[in-house]
Amino acid sequence: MDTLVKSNNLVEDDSRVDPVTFEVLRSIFEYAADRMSSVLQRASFSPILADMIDFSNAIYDADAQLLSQAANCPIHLAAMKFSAEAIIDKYPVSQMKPEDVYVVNDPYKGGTHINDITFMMPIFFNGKIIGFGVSRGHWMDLGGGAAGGQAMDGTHIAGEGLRLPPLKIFNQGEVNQDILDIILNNTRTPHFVKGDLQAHVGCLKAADTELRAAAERYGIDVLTVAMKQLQEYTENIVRKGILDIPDGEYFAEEYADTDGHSNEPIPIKVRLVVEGSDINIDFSETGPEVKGAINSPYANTASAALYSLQFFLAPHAPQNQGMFNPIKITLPDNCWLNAKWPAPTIGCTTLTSAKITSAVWQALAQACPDKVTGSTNADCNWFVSSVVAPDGTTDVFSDLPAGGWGGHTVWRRDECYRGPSRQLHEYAGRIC
Amino acid sequence: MWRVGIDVGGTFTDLFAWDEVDNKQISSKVLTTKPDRSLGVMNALKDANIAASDISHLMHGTTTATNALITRDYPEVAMVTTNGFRDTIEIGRQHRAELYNPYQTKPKPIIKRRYRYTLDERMDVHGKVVRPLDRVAAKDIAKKIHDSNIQSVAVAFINSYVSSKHEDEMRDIILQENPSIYCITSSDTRALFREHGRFVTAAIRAATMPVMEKYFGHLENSLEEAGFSGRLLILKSSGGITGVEYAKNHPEELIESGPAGGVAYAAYLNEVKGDCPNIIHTDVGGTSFDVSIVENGKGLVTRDHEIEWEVPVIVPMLDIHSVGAGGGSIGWIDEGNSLRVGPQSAGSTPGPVSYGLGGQEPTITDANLLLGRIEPSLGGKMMLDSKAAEAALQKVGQEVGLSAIETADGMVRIGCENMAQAVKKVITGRGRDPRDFILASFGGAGAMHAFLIAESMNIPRIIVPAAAGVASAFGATAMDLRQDLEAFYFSAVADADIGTINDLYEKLESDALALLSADGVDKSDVVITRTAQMRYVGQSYEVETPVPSGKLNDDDLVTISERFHECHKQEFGVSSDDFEPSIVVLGLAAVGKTKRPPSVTVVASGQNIEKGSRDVYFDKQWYKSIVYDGHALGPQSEVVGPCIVEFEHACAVIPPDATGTVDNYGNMIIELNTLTK
Repeated sequence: MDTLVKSNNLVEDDSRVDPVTFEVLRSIFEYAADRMSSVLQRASFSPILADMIDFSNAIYDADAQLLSQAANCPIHLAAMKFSAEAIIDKYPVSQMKPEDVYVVNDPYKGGTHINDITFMMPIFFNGKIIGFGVSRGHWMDLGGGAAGGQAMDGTHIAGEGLRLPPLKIFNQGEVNQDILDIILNNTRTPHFVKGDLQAHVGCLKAADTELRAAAERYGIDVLTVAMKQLQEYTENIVRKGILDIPDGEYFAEEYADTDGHSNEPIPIKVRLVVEGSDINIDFSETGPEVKGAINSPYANTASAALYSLQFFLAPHAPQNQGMFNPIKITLPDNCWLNAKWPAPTIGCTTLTSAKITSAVWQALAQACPDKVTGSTNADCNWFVSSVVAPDGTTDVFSDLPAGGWGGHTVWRRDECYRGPSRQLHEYAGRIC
Repeated sequence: MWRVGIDVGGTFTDLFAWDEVDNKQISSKVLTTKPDRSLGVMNALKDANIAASDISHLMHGTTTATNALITRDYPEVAMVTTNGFRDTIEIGRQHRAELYNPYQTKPKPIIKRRYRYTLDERMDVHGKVVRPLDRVAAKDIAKKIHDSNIQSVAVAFINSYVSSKHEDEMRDIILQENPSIYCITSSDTRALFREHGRFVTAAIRAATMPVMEKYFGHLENSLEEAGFSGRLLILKSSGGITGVEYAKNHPEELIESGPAGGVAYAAYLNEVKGDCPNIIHTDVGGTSFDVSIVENGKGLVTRDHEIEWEVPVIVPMLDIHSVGAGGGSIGWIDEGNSLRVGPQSAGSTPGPVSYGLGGQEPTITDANLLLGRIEPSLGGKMMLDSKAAEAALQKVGQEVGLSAIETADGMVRIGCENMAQAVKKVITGRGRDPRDFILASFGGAGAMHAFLIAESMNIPRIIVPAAAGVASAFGATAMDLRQDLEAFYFSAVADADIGTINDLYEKLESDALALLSADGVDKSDVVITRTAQMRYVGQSYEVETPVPSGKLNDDDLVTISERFHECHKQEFGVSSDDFEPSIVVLGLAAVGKTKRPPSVTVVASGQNIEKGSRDVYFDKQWYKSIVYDGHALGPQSEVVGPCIVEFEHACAVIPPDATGTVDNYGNMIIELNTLTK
């Protein structure tokens, strides 16, 4: 008997694999996403990918549910899930072929701002889809009224760059030149675009290799069951974390100083409703869309709200579908945190997400004052610049200078300055 | 005369020596002495009964520099840098070590902020002076250093990789005022761009130089008093050795040189056997697992190793990955109710439960004991408490519905999977196919776990080297003298000037030959391998690409580009002619071949090979397993799993369906016959 493929013995009943196999696979799924990130960072061209790690990579299960996401960029956390859903809505899974790659960056279809672009590839084993590799990165420039799409005085999404609906950019490994040409025609930095696309493909290939190796070793049945179990595992940890928060309603308010058009502060009002092991993050009291480019689409708001809680609920749990189940997000229809076409959104991942976190933490601090840290440098100070070289090539560069971290009850005074002092919302994590 | 290798580890100081005349071999193990580890070196010589006057070459691996750095235990050190760059070494790369841990703190900077001085100077990227060095401010800083108890200074200016003019000027001013302190420059440390890595590496050199000069001084004195007149050679993290004088001046090249000896041993195995050019070197200790690879007989090198979070050393180093998994790793149930192993370790205190020294949480060692893989009396050293181990395993396991034995089996599997993840980082993570490799298992506990790591990665063969227990010391005696030199040359290949490239390589080669000649290497014994750090124009990370030797012409540039595309494809799975290759750094490794330990054909009695038998647990059942004396097995003798083979410092576990064969040199080769093809 082949001792390495013990698939029949490993599934204890329909819904469980044995505890040891589970732990082994948990570690394999985690590694697969980490390896994607390692490839993307080293092979990419945009400095914001290579140096700022403004990307996220994940493995999804065969039902396109998030299974394991590399811990890189928090603001992509929940948003990627909605992008994957948008792709699958348009391209039925049953018609996907090996090495098909799909792309989307529409902020209103699971995106955040135009520059965050998502790629998705089905992973096949023995002719069956066993999961998906999904890779999202911030591309330096996809056109728009200013370098890097940062048209901060704009009032319409069209001014922020090229908005791609879900599209199939690779057909069984062959690039769709028509789509690529459109993208290349609509960017200041075509030299980054092709290189970054190649890096994303390398990264999806890494996901493909790792997941297929796991399927080969453990069989599809075990893999499928373990994937569901991993999502339950995370859900359990998150629910335990919520149970530790006293039931009740906690309200807090935070402000964006401006939307770039007026000097009126723009409030975020959040109410955390904690009941048992469920939380509702309720933004019902937050106001309507604003004129300027700080509006946040649903996926971005959901990401910001979720990762805000992740710090204090389940910092070490694998990020997957399981963490979405206990957490509900309530957003009114006309709300600057639930932006609809054609509201401009370029500032949503930086300024707006920082303010959302600050609001959520202030509300949470009322429930667990000993646990929650103060707000961080609650803005992102994102800047973009472009230079034109003597040969006419334009380079776009962007940076997010870090700032201070909020204080905490357990730090000694001299430790505060050694806190993470990092950009809260974007870019972090150990890349191996 | 003896050629002696001594490796000083955290707990033990290992020695291996062979006699150049009659090929006699000796090994010994003594306790490491702290704080002065040189005493332990002398103890090891005594223990092996080797007179210092009979030693021709002493190859020495030491963790003293690494320890000083990690504990920040070195004399007061200062930095002088360009206005605006005072906090570069502290700000780092602006990433968090753990994404969602709100309470994390960064490692302390290597040089305290109050001792980081700044002044006005500026060089542009072409080496042109934009603002001259402010000599008044420079003298003022030199005075401040004089008035403090600072003993070492790093001068690190922006763009100094193009021209060292300002750094040299600053250094001279400091030394004029403070003739007795150490003062080094970042351009002399590594003249490469990206100031964070260069500044930190310079800071590391400045901080550890006084420590290493003192340490080597003690050692040299002790050896001299004992009558030593041979060559003292030091292990470097690049996988070579160098003379002690060079080592004193380049301590940053000694950081994390610990596993280098073992990697040299792995390469030596191929030199002797000729059938294993690709080896995965693994070492299981009490708290950590180290892995690196030897490919085509050479250790794979990296340049972005971080000693701690965002504390990089930008010198070429063996690409060694470590994870917190070892004999002392603890089994526990996490908040999501999954059985986990490590990274916490019981260490030597309180140690495994079965040691009876107060440990309460079950470790991998306890699990191996219960599975029958460890001999309960540890070769007569102490009696392990199986009952206590079983109770501890039971307690943890019942939370997830596992019996004590299932927990033990599970913990070992999970621990080995953690180790396999580290192996993947250097194998599949760098585009290599594990089936092309043989897994070499070092360290006392390595051969007990090797089969599970190999199974996890579909690696069909394992080798347990004859001297696995003193592997680093053995490897030290099988190491070449080596220099890794680099020159910054930033150009797209299409714009590259072949004349300049030839000049730079020529200069690097003559520098390397001079350094090796100072260590007594004859020019004719030197082998030089050229590389270039390359990337596509616009990328931020480089891939090491082999470069032809000799005088290069424009056709060679085409070859270099083709090789770069291939290397990029191997590492990242993609490459394309759409992009223009470019060169960032030209480098070379100059290796002065040394004598190798003799590959002695084992002489074994072939008698009394069985020490007994015991029940060992594999794959959900118990197997009556023979315990063999590894040293009694003669060449080409074969054992069939399940069985245990015990060596003096190591123990190999051979699972059912696998076979073990002793080769002519006393190494055990294990063939796993059950892998998926």
